[in-house]
Amino acid sequence: MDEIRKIEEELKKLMIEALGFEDLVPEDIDPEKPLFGDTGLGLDSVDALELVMIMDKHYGVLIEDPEEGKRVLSCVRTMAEFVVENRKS
Amino acid sequence: MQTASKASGNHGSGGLSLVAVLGVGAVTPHGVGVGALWQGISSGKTAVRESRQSRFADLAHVPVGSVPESVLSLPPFAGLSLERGRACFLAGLSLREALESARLSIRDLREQNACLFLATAKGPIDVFQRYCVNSGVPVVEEQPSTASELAAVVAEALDIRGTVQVVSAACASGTLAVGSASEEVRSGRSGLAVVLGVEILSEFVLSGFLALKGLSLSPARPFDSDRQGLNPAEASAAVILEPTQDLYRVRISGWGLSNDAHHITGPDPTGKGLCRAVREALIQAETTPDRVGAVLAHGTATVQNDDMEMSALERTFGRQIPMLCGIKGSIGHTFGAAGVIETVAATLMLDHGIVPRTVGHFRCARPGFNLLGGPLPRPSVLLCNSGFGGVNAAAFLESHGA
Amino acid sequence: MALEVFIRGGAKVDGRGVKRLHGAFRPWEDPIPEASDHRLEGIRGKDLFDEPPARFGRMDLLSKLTLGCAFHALSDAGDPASPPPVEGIILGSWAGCLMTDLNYYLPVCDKGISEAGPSLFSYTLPNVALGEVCKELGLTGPNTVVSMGRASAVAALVTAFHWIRSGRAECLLAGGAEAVDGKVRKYLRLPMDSDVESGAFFLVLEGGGSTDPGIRIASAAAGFQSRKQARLRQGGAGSGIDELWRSLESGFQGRLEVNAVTDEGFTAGLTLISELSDG
Repeated sequence: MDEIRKIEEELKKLMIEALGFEDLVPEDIDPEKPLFGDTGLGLDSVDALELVMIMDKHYGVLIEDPEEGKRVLSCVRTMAEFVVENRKS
Repeated sequence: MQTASKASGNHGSGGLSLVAVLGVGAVTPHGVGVGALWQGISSGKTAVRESRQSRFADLAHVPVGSVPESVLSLPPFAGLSLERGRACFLAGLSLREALESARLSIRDLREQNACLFLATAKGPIDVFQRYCVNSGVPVVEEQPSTASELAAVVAEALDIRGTVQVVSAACASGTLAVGSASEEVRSGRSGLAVVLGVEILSEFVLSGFLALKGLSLSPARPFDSDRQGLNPAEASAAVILEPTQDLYRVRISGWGLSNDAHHITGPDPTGKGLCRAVREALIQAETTPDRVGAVLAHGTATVQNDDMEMSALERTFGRQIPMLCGIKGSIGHTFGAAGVIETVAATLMLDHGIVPRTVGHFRCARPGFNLLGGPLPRPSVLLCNSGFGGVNAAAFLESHGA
Repeated sequence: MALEVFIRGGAKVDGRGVKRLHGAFRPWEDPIPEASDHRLEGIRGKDLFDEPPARFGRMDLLSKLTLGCAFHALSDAGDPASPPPVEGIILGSWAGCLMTDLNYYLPVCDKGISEAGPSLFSYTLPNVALGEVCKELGLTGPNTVVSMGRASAVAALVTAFHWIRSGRAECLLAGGAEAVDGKVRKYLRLPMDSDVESGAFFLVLEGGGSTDPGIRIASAAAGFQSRKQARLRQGGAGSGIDELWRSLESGFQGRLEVNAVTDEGFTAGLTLISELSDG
């Protein structure tokens, strides 16, 4: 569980940096809130590809299938869980 | 290509004239010449092949449309040699053919105060890449290293004295350049216009579309329900426009330009933006949707683009959608140059009175669209392109008919 | 009545701040963090907007400057309650997205294809900046980038003039933007003391009747000289924009010629006429 928390914090920082959120701090991002759509952070398809790249680069986990991508990228929590499940240790 | 009239001199400040296509030239993955292009797109063949020459494994098997190697040993035109970059050289080959088919010399261009519009997305990207790979070793002086410089080098070679401009509207650049150039001619500011489209294959663009998951790993399938993305390609095409009062073989009778105001890379799925550009072109041409003989569409074979285009066509034409055709399954997607190559293709369609079957298409994603080709029912072709930045451009070409 | 083309407003963004044509100079409120080569690289949404666009931070510098400047030019043109009916935008840019091209591709060269960033790649076309403007300001009409070396900004005004005169649009934003850093200067082989800097400049042009008061563009033309001619020309190359801006700001009277010429041979020129209103 602690590992998931730790990855969530890392992911939030990486996201703010890579997606260019000027006025957000990690605490502003609720790990259970949706990242896409009108609620939440309002990310789009280009951001989704950017997140896939972050997951690959920093954790070596690949999201190949678009349907799987939708599920994994739904919130920071699901992303962190995917990292823990798929990371080669 | 036959032409019905010769350049008829300056039109001073007098009334607006018609704008005729006087000459066309092309070098494409099907080889040198508009004959090779027509042969390729009308015989149902694809020139798209595995690239096989990337230093990156991820790009090595991506299908692309590259100009045949044999083309590179042809004599350069007007000093636009391969040493000055691939874009410069290919541009020269298409310009030579266009001027020959228009029966014009470089002197005519100067005397008619010709203008030059260059349509390109990445211009001399080979020069840029070499610079980056060699970690900042300065580019060779004789090699144009920006699109502006490429336009200036071509203008110098052709002795152009009118407006010389790079048009940068992503994949709509070509159609927009044809439209802009037609405006220069129609208004009398130039007695001739040269529209040049050029795009070359690059690791830059391939890597980017790989990152955007936009590449197809097989030859592209425009408008097909199983389409999976585009095939990057390279080509150059040139179109010469002249003012005319009534004699013409093919003329540019209207064009339109719009923005989706929706998203920078994803087209507006409703097709409203493209529909506005199409309507503007038809209004300027003083015609109506039922007078359109065929649509030569963008058809990149990405899921989003083709979906948007079909929506825009349904919105424009209702249930009576004209025959639809796309050539990117046959030559690939030449990005900024695409609209100029498709202006050449539309001119050839009008010359032959034939709509080619859409190569790569097997089963259309929606009902109501005919992609099988056949005789052109009316002597007119609507051309459209859309690109990143939400831009859409359309042009309407007409001939007198057979 | 012949259609005349009037300058309704404008704005300029540079290293020091924002200036609207009819407004006071607004220096950067919070000091912009010093970036590697140029302080504008660190520009933030709140430096340019009271309510910054949601994804301003994701944009490349060309888009940030173009969007910020276009917004201020539009705000400068007339009464906020009834803004001019701007339909589209024409951007003149020489360097275009070259800075973004280098930022995207140098890491790919260096470390391989895993460095190819989808978001950054999306900005490697200069007209994507216009996509941001059109989306943010709701413009659905003509939009394009024209490039003619350093004459690009004046060339954009020339194009807008022709498009309004021919009836393609009634009201357009037109001007220039450059995003330049050390890498871009090196690629363009600019001397260290070159005056080409990051910044943006936009005017709102609108068609009107020949008896309307205000500053109008009486004629506009672009052309090309051979390199030989360009070398023989008197005076140096210039974008013409500083001269144009100064004259507009000082409220000139009478006639003004603005010319841009470049070392490559591009030329673009405008003739402006300013007449006092009867009121």
